[in-house]
Amino acid sequence: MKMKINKYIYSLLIASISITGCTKEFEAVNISPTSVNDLSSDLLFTNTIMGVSGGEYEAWRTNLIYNSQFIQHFASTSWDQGHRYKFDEGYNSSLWDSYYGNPIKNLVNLVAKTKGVANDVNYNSAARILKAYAFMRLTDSYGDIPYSEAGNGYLSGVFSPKYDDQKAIYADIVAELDAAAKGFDAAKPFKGDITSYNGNTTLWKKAAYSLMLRAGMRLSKVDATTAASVVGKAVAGGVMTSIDDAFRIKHLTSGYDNPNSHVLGYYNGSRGELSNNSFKFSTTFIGLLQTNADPRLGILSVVRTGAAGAIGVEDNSAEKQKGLKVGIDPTGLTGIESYSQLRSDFVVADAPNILVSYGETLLLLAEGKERGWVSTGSAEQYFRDGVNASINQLKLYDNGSNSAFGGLFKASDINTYTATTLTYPSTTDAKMKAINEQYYIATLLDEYEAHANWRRSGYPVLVPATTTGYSNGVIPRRFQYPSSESQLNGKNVNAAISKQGANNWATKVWWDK
Amino acid sequence: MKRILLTTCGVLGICAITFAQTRQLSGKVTSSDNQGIVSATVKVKGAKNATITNTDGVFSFNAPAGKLVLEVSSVGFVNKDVQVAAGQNTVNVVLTAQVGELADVVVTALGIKKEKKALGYALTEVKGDELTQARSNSVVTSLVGKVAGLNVTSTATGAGGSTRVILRGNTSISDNNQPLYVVDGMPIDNSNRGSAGMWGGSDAGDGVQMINPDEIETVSVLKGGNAAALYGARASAGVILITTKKGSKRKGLGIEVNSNTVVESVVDYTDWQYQYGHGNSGVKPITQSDANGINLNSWGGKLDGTSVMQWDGKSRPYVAQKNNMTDFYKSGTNLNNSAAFYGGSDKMTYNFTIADMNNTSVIPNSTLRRNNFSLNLGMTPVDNLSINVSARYVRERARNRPRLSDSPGNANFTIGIMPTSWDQATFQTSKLDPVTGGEAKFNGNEYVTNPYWAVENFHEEDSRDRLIASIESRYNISKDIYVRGRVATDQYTRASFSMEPQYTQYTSGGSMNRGTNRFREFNSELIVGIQKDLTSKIKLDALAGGNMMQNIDEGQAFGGNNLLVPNFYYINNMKDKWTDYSYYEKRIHSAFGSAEVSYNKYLYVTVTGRNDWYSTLSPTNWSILYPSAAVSYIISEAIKLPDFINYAKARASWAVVGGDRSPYGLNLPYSLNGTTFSGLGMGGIGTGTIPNKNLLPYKVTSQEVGIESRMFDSRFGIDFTLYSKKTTNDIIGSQISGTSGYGSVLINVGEVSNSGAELLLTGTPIKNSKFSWDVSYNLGYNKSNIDKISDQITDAGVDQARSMTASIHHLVGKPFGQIMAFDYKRNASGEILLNAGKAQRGELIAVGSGVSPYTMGINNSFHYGNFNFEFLIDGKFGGYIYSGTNDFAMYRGKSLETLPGREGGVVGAGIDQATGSKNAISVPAQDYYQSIALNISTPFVYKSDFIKLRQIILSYNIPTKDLGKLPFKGASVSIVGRNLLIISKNTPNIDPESNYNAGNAQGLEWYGAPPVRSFGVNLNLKF
Repeated sequence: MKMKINKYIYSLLIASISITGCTKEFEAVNISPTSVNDLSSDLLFTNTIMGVSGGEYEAWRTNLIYNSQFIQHFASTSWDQGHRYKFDEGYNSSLWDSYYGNPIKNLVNLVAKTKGVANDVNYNSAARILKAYAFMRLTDSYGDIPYSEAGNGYLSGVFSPKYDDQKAIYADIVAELDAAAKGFDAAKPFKGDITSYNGNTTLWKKAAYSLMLRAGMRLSKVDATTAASVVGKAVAGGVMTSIDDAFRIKHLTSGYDNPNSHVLGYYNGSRGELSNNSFKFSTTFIGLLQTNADPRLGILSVVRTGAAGAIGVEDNSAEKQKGLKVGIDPTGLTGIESYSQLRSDFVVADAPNILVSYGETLLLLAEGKERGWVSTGSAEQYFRDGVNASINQLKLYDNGSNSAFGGLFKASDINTYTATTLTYPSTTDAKMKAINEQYYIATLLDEYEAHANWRRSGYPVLVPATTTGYSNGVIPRRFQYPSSESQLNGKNVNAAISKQGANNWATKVWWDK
Repeated sequence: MKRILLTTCGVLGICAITFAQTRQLSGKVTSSDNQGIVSATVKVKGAKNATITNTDGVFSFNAPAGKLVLEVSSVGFVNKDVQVAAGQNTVNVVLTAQVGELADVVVTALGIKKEKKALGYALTEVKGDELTQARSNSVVTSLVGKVAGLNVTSTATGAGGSTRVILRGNTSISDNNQPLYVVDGMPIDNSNRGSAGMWGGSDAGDGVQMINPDEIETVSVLKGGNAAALYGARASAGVILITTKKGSKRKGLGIEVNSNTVVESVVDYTDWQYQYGHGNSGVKPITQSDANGINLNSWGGKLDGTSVMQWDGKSRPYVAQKNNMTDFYKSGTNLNNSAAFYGGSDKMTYNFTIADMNNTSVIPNSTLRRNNFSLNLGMTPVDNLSINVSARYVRERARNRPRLSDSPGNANFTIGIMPTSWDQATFQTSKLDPVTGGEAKFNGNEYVTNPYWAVENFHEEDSRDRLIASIESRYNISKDIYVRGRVATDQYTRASFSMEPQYTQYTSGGSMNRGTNRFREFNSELIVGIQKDLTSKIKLDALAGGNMMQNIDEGQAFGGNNLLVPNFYYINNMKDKWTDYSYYEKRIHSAFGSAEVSYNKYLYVTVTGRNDWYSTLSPTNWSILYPSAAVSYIISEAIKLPDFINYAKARASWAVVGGDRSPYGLNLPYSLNGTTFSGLGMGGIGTGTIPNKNLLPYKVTSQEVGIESRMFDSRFGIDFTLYSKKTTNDIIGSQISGTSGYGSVLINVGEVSNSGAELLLTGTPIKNSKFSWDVSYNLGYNKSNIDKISDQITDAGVDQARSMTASIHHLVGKPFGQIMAFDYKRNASGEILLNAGKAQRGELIAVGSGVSPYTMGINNSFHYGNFNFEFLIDGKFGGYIYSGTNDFAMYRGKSLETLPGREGGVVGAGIDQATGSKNAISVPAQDYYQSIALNISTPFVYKSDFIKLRQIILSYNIPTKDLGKLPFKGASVSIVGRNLLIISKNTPNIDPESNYNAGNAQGLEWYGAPPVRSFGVNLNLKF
């Protein structure tokens, strides 16, 4: 009996050993079946493009609620924080939160992954251009920001990135754009491009230099010398030459819709803000079109009647168009339907997201020429062509769903307007005013750019809303750093604040000084 | 004759054992009250023959022929020697119970019963019958106030919500800090399958709430690593062992029926201003678009009874509507019915329980139903072998779990902030938009939802079907050595469906999603144990064993937005669809051992060790040893103490335990987007958390000392414990600057310390033949400190409130979970600096911890004849809570504080920043108070201290003689109440226990479900 028991104990011991011994499969168990350790560059690239185009989150808050109303393109009744200068922590930080957490992270990663990989040069270059674009939007909005160490949490273990001077950021953006443009190789793979360029490296180069032109002009107020040299470099590199060269991201009717359309659109799943009569053109914007007798009044602006949830009837009769005054208290406001708003054709789900347009580029060239930074061409011609392109490029929104849309563009009217109706002034100040007022109209919906260019150029001259709000009655000059940064990156953000100035909406960014 | 016996000992082995036969000796071991004694050892003196009794106290074994002496022993009873004559085949033995502390037998780690006096650590056992009368729907909420040092926090969501249980403080910065729950040896999953956060959401309940209180025999709370050391990697936050009721041998079928009917009603703690009504800037709305175009502001004109336009285009008298809360919420009911069938014979015992819990919430259309079926079988098929089967099936169905925190779909939010002059009833009558048939617009923010649209048109349902089962067999190889094997599983399927209706203001297209989670955990455990008298005074009780754990959590979900055909919430009717699949698997293999050596029944020394191998770690790190040591010294047995001391014991212990790890945390994952871009795939970095290859599990080293004593004929008792524990290598899922591209990072450097004291005092101030009064008081104090987060990080964010002006952070040098809030901007001498008459945001300061360091409970119980009355008061002290409700109520002009200056403006107290002198600028009340509510949050952080009358029970045991010819053997009826009264609190308008989730971010409140009081009747019948 004793022997039998011993046998039993032995078998137990063996069982115990087998328990602790079968760890061989542990490494296999710890491999996730739902993620991979790597993805091909084209898949990552496609995702970063969509990331830059962004989402409803910041399109609504930063672009439409704040920028578009600061700049008096729109005035909203439900979302009056922008035109009445009311602070909201979440709205103020939405671009920051969205961009650093998605496109910046994935672009920094893609640039690092493709660096020095011969077959990936096009992904590397394109990612650097997108990265330059995204950082420009961020630094224009907030001033000094984490740049050189940003998005590097995994790659180099930087959890509290330092803030770089905007000056240094702009210098690097220009260098990056140049290097990226030169890096393209049409013989190498370039798939997954969901911009309008569809993998055409020549067009990507034009985008890089057109963006560089924008960056150069941005420095006009703070550092004319650098601005001149950057503008010169951009023009030498080759900017876009037709409306169809516009750098734009494609969107779909299903799944990946245009972020602005998602807020304003009429389709299922959109926020339907136009259908709610919530976003109206401001008196400033409508007034400018009316003063100029701009044919865009009949293209962009309508008075809409009908129930919520549907487009209803859109009336573009010139005499009916009127804007809503910024700063107005929406309480007690009646007859909201009688105010003008954006035509539904511009907020279709598959509207392109235009990052840099040909019209803007020509207007920048006009100003550059006037300043003597552009050697070729005539400033007046750039101006007239720029306005003409700005009008005609609105056809890029035509998705074919409205057969009447094309009919809004009467070539003869447009050409008469740009060639003769529009006067090109004689004094420098008046020229600057005319060019930048046109830039202001041309950048409708790209409100980040409209806000930045207004701050730089001072045109159009905007009368602030008669409300004190958070900015004491001035049109905000920047966004303030999110409170999460004081909580999580306090040392660095405080250093930036002490250098740049008080963390509020009034402090000007470096190029605005 | 030799007989071969085959039995399975778990899945781990098949054993073959042989025996020699002499004569069959059988009998029964009972206590003096004629109850069978389970697992008593029956041994032939001077020989090897021995057995243990089955669950009825019956034994039968082969003993040598001829005259012999049987040694009969059982834990908790005095040993007895019994003479057996030659030829005698049956013998019945009555054992006398040990009295006082010496007799207490408790369930310890791995389900092993031990004499309480042998334990070198604190352990609290709560009997099942304390959980069933004034019951709450989760077993753990019923433990509130009953266990020293047990800190229970509920979520503000009503029945079916999850509960946070913290034992001896929060041990880890990032882990969930909740104890491991073990039911009859099977560790059960306690995951929270959904909780509300900053952006809203619902609490989907936790795992332990599915256990039916009626099935519970005892709950053993193993508070520290010291008691739980044998659970190694899963013991860091303590262990709660639940042992269910077993059957026993009896004549005929035993039946016990319990019926509990409780009515729930909302308690309205609000006290708002009712002088000004809906509107802005002191102006009453004129048109419908005024009324429905602005936000839910009570900044309007003076309530003067005039007819004023409301949101639905109807004019109504401009008067105060004070009853919106009590009118909207209904009276809820909670019905619990259970029946237990039990009995047994010599070879088998059984207990079968069925239960039905049916809760109708105070929130309209929100219900929870749970059915429990459990079976415990005890078998003694042959001598020395006992098999226990514990199996339970739970079926839970929830409908329309309330949304909490942020506003979308959250009825509680809209009711909470309803303008003072609006009647909630209009939201039902004017709910629908005449054109779309959907939710009518009623304010300027579409993300605020009509409460009736939220509760009547939104739909959510989820179900859980769960099996928790274990089979345990124990075989006594000899009188000293036993082997015990166990296989156990916990598995459930959770299916959920939710939809947001079409033409909801914030989602015109509508949406639906459906998901299924399959959870499975398997444990196989084998133990070999020895209990041997080494000398007459030295005894050894030791075991060694191993365990294999496999845990799989798999989920599938799909959903879509934008319905094609109206009112049809089916996936193929969605224009935009998404799908998701998730899978997590981890394994832990373990080898463990424990040895207890006792000397002369007054000195006990126990050492244990457990080595765990983790699948979730890299091979160089995955093997970790967790040791412990404990000593217990029964002073009253060892030395002569004064007569008034009946019992005295001192104890001390030390242990190292670990924390669990999630799988797949070693590499940076890339994931693919759910939808392609016209066929083009896209993907990116699939995590917002920076991973780390070299992660280790965190380690908790703890020590405790304690004394226990009973005095004055055991009329007074004290149990006092001091402990400290230190967490090292804590895995920090620390929030980092979003500019890094990530929201958090996993690093292995955190250090947390906790120390504290637990006191239990029991007394019987009055005791005579007719009347007795028992009182029990417990107090727990825990001081936590974040010692280190990382070299770079001294401040780690956990979560943020919706206002974004208050958040929970861990700060080095401060207790766990500080509530961070923005103070007023002040000058050097601390005076408030105003800008153009308005308050400005100043520094972000740590106001205090959201976790209360002090918890206490006092229970008084009075017995008079067949009447019993008891009431439990509990409290927490020293913690804080940020009340978003109060912050937002100021923003919307609803709080009482917003009254001064309504007419003529507010000249804010403070210094004018521009002039440096006392502020003289007057600003309109709305601007002034909104600037405070938006920018400053310290005024809305309150002390969360409270004292509550938690429960009362008045019961009457109907004497058997009065039952007459009725078929009952026993009957009792009770009047019960829970959460009856808040005796003291510091939080205006809210219950201080209103956290919206059960996670680590404790101390945030934001429009949860209202507090509920319940009152009812419990009826218990035994047949």
